[in-house]
This record gives sequence, C-alpha cells and structure tokens, in this order.
Amino acid sequence: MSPERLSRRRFLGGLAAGSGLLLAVPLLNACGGGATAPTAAPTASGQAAAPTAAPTGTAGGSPTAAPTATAATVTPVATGRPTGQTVKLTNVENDSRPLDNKAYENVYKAFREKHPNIEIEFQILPWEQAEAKERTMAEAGTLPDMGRANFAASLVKLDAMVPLDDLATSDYLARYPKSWIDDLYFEGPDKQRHLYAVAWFAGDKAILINKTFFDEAGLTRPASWTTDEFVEAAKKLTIPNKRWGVTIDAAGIGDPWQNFWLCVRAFGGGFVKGRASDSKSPEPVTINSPEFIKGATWWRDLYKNGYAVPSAPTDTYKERDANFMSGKAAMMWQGPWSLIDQRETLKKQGWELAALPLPKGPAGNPQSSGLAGLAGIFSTARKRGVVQEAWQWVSFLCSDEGQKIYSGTNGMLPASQALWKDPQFANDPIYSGYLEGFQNGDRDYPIWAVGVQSVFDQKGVPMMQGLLLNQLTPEQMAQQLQDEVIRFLENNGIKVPRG
Amino acid sequence: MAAYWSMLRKNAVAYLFLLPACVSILFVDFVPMIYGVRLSFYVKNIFRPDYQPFVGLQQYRQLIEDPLFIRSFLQGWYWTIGSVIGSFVVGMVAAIVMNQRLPARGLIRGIILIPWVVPSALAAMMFALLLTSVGLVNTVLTNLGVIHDWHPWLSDPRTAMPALILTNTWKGFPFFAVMLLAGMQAIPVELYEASRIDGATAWQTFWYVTLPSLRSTIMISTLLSTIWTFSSIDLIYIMTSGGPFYATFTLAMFAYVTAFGTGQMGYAAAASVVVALILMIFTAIYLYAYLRHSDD
Repeated sequence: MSPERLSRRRFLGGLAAGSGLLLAVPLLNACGGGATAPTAAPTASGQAAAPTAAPTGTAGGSPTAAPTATAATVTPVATGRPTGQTVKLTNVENDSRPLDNKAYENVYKAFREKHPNIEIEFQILPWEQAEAKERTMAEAGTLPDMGRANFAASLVKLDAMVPLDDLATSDYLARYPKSWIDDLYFEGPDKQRHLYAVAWFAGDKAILINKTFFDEAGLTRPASWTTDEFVEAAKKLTIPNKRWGVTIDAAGIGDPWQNFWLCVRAFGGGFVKGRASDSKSPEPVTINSPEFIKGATWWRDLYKNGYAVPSAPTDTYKERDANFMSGKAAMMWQGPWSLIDQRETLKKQGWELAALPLPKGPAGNPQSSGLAGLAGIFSTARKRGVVQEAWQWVSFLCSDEGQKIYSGTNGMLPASQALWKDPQFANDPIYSGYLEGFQNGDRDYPIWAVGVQSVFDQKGVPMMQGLLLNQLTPEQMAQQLQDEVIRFLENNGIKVPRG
Repeated sequence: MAAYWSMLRKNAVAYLFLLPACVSILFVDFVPMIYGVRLSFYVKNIFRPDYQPFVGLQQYRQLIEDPLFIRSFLQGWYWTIGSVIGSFVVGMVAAIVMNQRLPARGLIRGIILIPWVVPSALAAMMFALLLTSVGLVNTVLTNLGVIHDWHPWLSDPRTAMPALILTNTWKGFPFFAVMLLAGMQAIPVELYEASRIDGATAWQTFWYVTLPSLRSTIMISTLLSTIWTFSSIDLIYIMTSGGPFYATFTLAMFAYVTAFGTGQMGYAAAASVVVALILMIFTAIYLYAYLRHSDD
C-alpha cells in the first residue's frame, strides 16, 4: 500500500467514523441499563432477590434471646471466588462531618485486619440531597454496593436493596431493643416484609445546653423539667441582639420535623390515637387535633416571644448547630450526633456542654427513639455478585466491636443495648439525657405509613415556617397537614379509615 | 434526488465529523426530553412503582389548579426579572468603568470578573453568612445606625427574595459586563467624536450613541441570562430551599421538589414541560435576534 493512497480526506473520514462509533458504543451500552456482566458468579445468597422467608408482619425476626454483649455473630459465608482475590466495594454515607470520616476510618482499619481481601472506597452523599440522589441512582442502577440505608423505604420500593433475612441471625438482631427491630423491616417487591437493614447507632433527642451560660444566668440544671420551665429558662438566657435562649431549625429535612413533632407529642398530639409503634394497619390519622394545636402553638411562641434565633425559618440543622456552638444560642434540641466534636468546640471557647432530658408537657416527654444509623446492601452488590463481601462490611460496622469504635470516635450512641452499659457511654454526662430517653421511645408514625416522612419534610416543614412567620395559624396547619398526609397515603394506595 | 445523494457523498466527511455530536445530543438531550414529555402523561410515584396509569393531560390541569404552582410561576418571574435587571444595570456600570483609560485597567477588569468564576454554591454560602442575623451586613447596618435590630434577611418573606436577587446580581453581572464591554469596543470612535463636536453631554452620548449601538448585544445577553436564570435553582436551594414558607419557591424549585422531595415524578415532569415550553419561547426569540444580528 503506497502512502499516496491514504488521502487527508480519507484519513479524516476514517477518524470521524471511528470517533462516532467510539462514542455511540458506550452510549448505547449505558441505555441498555444493567447489561453489565457481573464480575463474579452470583453466590447463593447473592441470588436472594426474591426471598422465601415467611412474612414478618410485626417483628417477624424478633428475637427472643436476651441481648448479649458479644452476640454479633454473622452467618458464615462462602464467597465463591478464589481465596486471596481482592474485592473492591463502594460504601455510601450521608454524614459529612469530619469526625464521622475519622470514625469510619477507624472502623475500616479494624475491618481490614480481619478481611485483608476486601477493599472499600467510601463515598459521601450529603444528607440533604441523599434521598433524591439515591433514588435517582437506584433508577439508573448506579447505587454503590452498600452503606447508609436510612432511605430504605423508598429504595426497597424500587427493588434497589438486597434482603438480609438469610444473612443476619436472630442473635445478631437480639442486640437491639425488641420494639425497634420493626424499623429494619420493609415491604419488598413481593409485598412481604423483609429485613433490609441492620443498625450501628441509635438516636433519640435531648436538649443540649451551654452549661456555662446556664450558670451565668443563675439557672440550675434540673433532672427533669416542664415545658413552662423550659420557656422560663429560654427567656432568662436571651440577651437581645446578642444571644437567644434556644435555636430551632425550620428548614431542611429530618431534624426540623422530628424536633417539632416532639413538642407536639409532649402536648399529646400524634399520628394516630395511641402509640404509633402499636399501630400495625391503617387507622384514622389524628394530626388535626387540639393537642397538635397546643404543641404547635407552644413551639411557635418560643420564636414569637423572641427567645429563639430570628433566622429559624431558614435555618437547617447546620445553622442550628453553628448557632449553638458559636454561643449565639444557649439550648437546642439535638440527637446524639458528634457529641464529642461539639463538646470540644465549646471547650475551646471556654464553655461547657451538658445534656438535659426533653421538657415534659401535659403528655410527658415522649421520645422518638430508635435505630438511626441503618446500613444495608444495595442491588448493585447483587448484580456484581459481591453480596457476601458487602455483608462482611455491613455486619462488622454494626457489630458491637464496630459500633464501639465508631461511636467512641465521634460521639454517637451505639445501637447495641449491651454497649449502653459500657462505662465509655454510661458514665459520660453528655450521654445521660439520651440514654434515659431510650426508655420511653415511640415511632414518629406507624410502619404502614410508608414514605410519609417525605410529606413532613416537604409540606410540613414549610408549614412550620408559615407558623413562625404568622402566615399560618396552628389550626390551619393541623388541618392542611392532615389533608396532605391523607392525600399522600391514598395516592400511594393506602386506604385510611376516616375518624 | 440524485443531486441530493451527490451532495451527501461530497460532504460525507463533514457529516461524519458531525455524527459524534449528533449522537450525544440525541441521547443526552432528546431522549430524556421525549421521555419527560411521555412521563407527564402518566402518574408515576416513586413510592408506588407498580401503579402507573395513563392520565393524559390530567396532571397539566392539576398544575393550573395548584396554587403553589401558580405562586411558583409568578415568583419565578420575580426572581428572573429582578436578577436580570440587577445584573444588567451593574454590568453596564462595570462595562463603562472597564472601557475607560484608567490606570491598572487590567487589574480592575480582573477584579470585576471574580464573581463570575466563583462557584455558585460558594457564592450562596458566602452571602448566606453575610446575611445571617449576626452576619456582616447586620453588623455594618447596625453600627451605621441604618437599622436598630438585627434583621434575618433570608428568613423574612419580605426580604428573602430581594436578598437572593442581590446575590444573583453579584454572581451574574460580570457576564453582562464582558458582553457589553465587547459591544462598546466595537462602536466606531467617529460616533463619539461627532457627538462631542455637536456638544453632547456625557449622558447624552451614552443615551444617544452607546445604548443604541449596543441594542443587539443587550438583546442577546438579556435573553440568554433570562433563560439561564429562570431554570436555575442552585442559589435558591442552598440559601433558602425555597422558603421561608415558599417565599422564594420558583417554578424550577417546584419541579425539583415535586420530583425528588415528594417522589411525584409524573407531576414533576408536567411542571418541567411547562418550564421547557416557556424557555423555548425565549430561545426562539433569542435565535431570531441572533440571526437578525448576524445579518446586520
């Protein structure tokens, strides 16, 4: 072939055709969706897409065995791949606080000593965008292999999670309080409830206080207090244009609603009549009640009377935390998140951190305690045939050993009951308000109201803003929210009896 | 027909070069767009994936009856018009400054362009900190005696949208400044000399010489900015999330929250189609203005 025969036109033409093909192949491949060949043959439980386990209406997997400190047994696994072959996994987390990264690092270090053949890459999807992004990734089949599964309710609906019924033993689950185990079960594509998550930390709420400000204001720290006493303290702690008694968040997802709902529940309001944990099938929704109105009014008046930071209507949990840690506010509702970090930050400024129980209203001080840090395995791991390896990580993170390393690093509360008695947690005053709260916890809404948290986050939270800004009365809010919740449930095929 | 094939053969290489771009546009733009339009005719709720009935135009009817949609639509225009006018006015002033023979002109031009290169998320966080209760804005205004009590700018429904517009103006004015500066430098010097001989004041020169000469540039940059601003949510999402109590909820936010907040994909698709139709009108005007400008 003589060089003269390859004209510039021919060369460029060939180049263009090649480029076109190169671009078209991955695009067509991407549109094929999930056509990627698994990297290894699926293992026995890797094929457990449609589990055969019996339905677990309530706490089907509820253990009867007493919790033990070392009950973190894991089903033995056979990976079906040659020994020594390194498996790379991706884990997703929604907490971007620095100490959380450090906590993961420490757990991973301990994990690698036991499983040198499993390498994990850690990704963070920030909490505010995590659910939306994970849903989108689930639709596109691009979820990581495993990780934080707090949005399991919607991901399970998309068949994006792997049931764990065959992986977690009853001993493993027995470490959690019996009444919390329901939170780990979700209705799968086969309309049966399956175990889709395990947990590595628990959550409830307490009032975090700047003890130094309390002392300066001549306030004593009560062992328990009422909503009236709380208001009185907030009033005394407020210094106009300098400091506010309390910081509340009325923007963002999760926290704002949970904190508001605690106030409503302290006055006797609730999603249904009686305990939400006891409600197993649809019953009349009782949001629109005189008790809700009283609780909402109490919460609004903290702001209206000038005891709460004025930016509350657009403050998310981040601004709320910043308000508290910068000394702009003296109290806040807070879960046991990064308590060690918060204590250190306050200490650097010469202040002391303490936790008080929630104030008691006419209905006591009901808690929203339960399992807060859920971990699960996504369908990506099933497609890649790495369910067993993913379970090794998830089960280690949620084991007593993993929980102790994690919570010990960043100041969370472990989910294993045995660890609550560990001196590391039991003797530290910053945990005391929380550990007490575990005794009277209840769910925010019943298990049959799947996905209703999105209504609270997307409709309820703006209503809270309207309440603070006097653009909505508590009565209007109660009525509108009840209507929104019922509309949502009915749109999702859940028939709600009218009260 | 033969002539057509002959032309196609003659330009085959050119078409082959266009192929990668066409394929990517087809898959990245048109396929999702068609899917989105199709989705708007179905109820698709993320919490109920097994129930997706065809409902025709019902969701569009629902949109018209949805007070939040109407409010978002109007606020979307408030946000867009406010931001575009603000950016244009500041951009014009900046362009005039940059067009002068000033010492350190290069440095001034560089400084003026800074907001453009700052990522939107960073700009949003920066302004959110400036506007917070104990932020710099309140501190300065209180010390100057302009206000007596700290004002929660982003948490007051009356000031939240203006605060967002201010932020977007800061972020968007360099675009106008650069476009207008390029336009100003293309104005023949003779026009300015003639106006000076005629005894025109600086204002008259600007009004009767500069502004008319910039007509096409203003038209094109304003239309582009309108299209970008109407569909943007980054600043709003980070600074107020559409609050307080929907005071900064725009149509783009409505579509986003409906899809990813409450999982109503079909309803959100219908809202997105409305946004796309509005933007298509502006794109058509832009193309018409651009082609006319090219002809000139």
